[in-house]
Amino acid sequence: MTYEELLKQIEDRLGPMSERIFNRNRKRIYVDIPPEHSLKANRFVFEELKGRMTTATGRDTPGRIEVLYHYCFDKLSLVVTLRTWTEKPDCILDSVATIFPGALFIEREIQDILGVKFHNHPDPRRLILADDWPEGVYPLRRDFQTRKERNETPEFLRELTSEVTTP
Amino acid sequence: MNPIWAIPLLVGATAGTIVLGLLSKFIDRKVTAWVQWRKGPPWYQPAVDILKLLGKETVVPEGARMTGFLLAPLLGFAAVCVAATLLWWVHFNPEAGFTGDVIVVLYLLTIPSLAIIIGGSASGNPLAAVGAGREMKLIIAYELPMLLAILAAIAGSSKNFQLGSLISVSTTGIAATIGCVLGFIVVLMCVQAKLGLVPFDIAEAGCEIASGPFIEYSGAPLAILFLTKAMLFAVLPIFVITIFWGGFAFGSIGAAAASIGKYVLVLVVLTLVRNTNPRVRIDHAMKFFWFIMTPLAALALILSMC
Amino acid sequence: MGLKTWALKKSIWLYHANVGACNNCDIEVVDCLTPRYDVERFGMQIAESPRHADALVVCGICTRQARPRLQELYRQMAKPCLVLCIGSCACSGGIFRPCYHFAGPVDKVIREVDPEAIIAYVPGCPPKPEAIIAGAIKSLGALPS
Repeated sequence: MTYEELLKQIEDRLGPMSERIFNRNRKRIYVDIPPEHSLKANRFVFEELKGRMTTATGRDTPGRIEVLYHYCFDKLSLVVTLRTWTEKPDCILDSVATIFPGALFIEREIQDILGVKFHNHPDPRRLILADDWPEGVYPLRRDFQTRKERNETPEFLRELTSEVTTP
Repeated sequence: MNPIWAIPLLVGATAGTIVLGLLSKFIDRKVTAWVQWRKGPPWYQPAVDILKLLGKETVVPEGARMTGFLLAPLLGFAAVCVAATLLWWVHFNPEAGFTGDVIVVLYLLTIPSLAIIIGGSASGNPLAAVGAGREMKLIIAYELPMLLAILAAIAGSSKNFQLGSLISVSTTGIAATIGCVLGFIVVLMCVQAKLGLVPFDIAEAGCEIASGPFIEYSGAPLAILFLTKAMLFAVLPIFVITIFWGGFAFGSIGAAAASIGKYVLVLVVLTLVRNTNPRVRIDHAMKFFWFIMTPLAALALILSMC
Repeated sequence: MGLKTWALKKSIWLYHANVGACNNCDIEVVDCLTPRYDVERFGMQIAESPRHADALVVCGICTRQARPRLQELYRQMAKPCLVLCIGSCACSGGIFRPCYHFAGPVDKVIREVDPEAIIAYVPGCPPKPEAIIAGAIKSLGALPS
């Protein structure tokens, strides 16, 4: 389908579910979807528009954690991003991996590092954190303090050997 | 012959084969380096490798059977020493052999592979067990065509199972010559597998199973294993040339040059095949030896018997 | 210098371990084997099993998951042996030092197992193969004679 047809389909079908559709430029479209419609919207883009999910990103913002799913339309040079969010501290989202297995690993990674729980994920094991990493500590959240921020700067810069990171 | 000469003969042949084997290993590494456009290691490199290994500590893993683990390399080494002694003695004194000594040498030359299997199985490591299993399958694959090809050479020339009578005896007729040439090619492939060279180094596959049966060896046992492989590198070409190409003769300058040339040519062929081929899977290797090499060897046998 | 140490210096077998590197240092280490730099003329070759090796070539910061495994690798090597830390990540942690998965630079991890380990540092990001070869040859001088 052409670019105009795709835009029209997005506005017609995703418009009612979404909060806003932002056509940033010719190559990027952002669609904000509330969490309860996220699975439907992803299924629409993947199965009917035939978009190819390249990756998913997570953002830690005040009050919520946003998860953005990026779908590429290679022939049209277009990337459509579906942005959903979940309120802290519960952070539960529907898993897109139930639609296609390509999202399995990226959701596991977001689960490990940002602490978003994906409901109905077929394989919710730990992916990239070490086996003995404590539960409930999410390294890429804004409130995770690296050793530098814990005011260890003078010794940190001077010392030649280091300590094991304690979260 | 006075039996008291047996010990000095054994020691002399072992020393000679060690020197020859380490030099052959050097030729192999140097030719590999030239083919890859590099400078290779210096001439003493294989000897220094063995010396270094003798100086490191021997680590025996907890799950290993110590007796089998430590005795297996000695078993292989002893077998190669005796086989080498037989071959050297027969060259110096062609009437000194006995009927059937070809078969004795063949049996002795299977023992190093069995030693690798025993050592690998005694290591208590699953990768070593995989390597030992692969070595077993490889032995089953290549022994049959090797036997048939050697029979072809014997049938085509002296019809006598004695090493001494195979040296410098020509083949009987054109069909026998073609049979012997075919047999030589088959045996070279089997030697490639016996020495554990690519494309048949499946048992000690480096990157795949972290050197298979050798994985837990270190220090002196590993040095003996590498020394055994280096000696096999010398003994097997000598064996093959004795049976198929008329052995070695150092009577005149021309004969000596021809002997050295034959030996170096076989080594270079083995090295070039090693450098230009990928490693094959064990089932491919078995199919190759059973369904391509065995019929070829059988054909060689039939041609030599005409 | 005894025969043992002379033989060890002339024939070092390397075992390569990546404990959390971005792979650049691994590529440079493998480059050393190529015809342009050719470490085989010094007698160095890649050993497949840590027990056969004389030098543990480590690339990468030591991540939390890799830390006990690196220590186990060092323990399994037959002594005497060397450790070569390749790249600024292995030497000191590099730019990843404040990261959440950093578990001590490689020398601290290995000295926990063996306080007298011989460790050579080759900084760079990634170090050139010439620097890796120079570091390896210099570390041979530190072997106990």
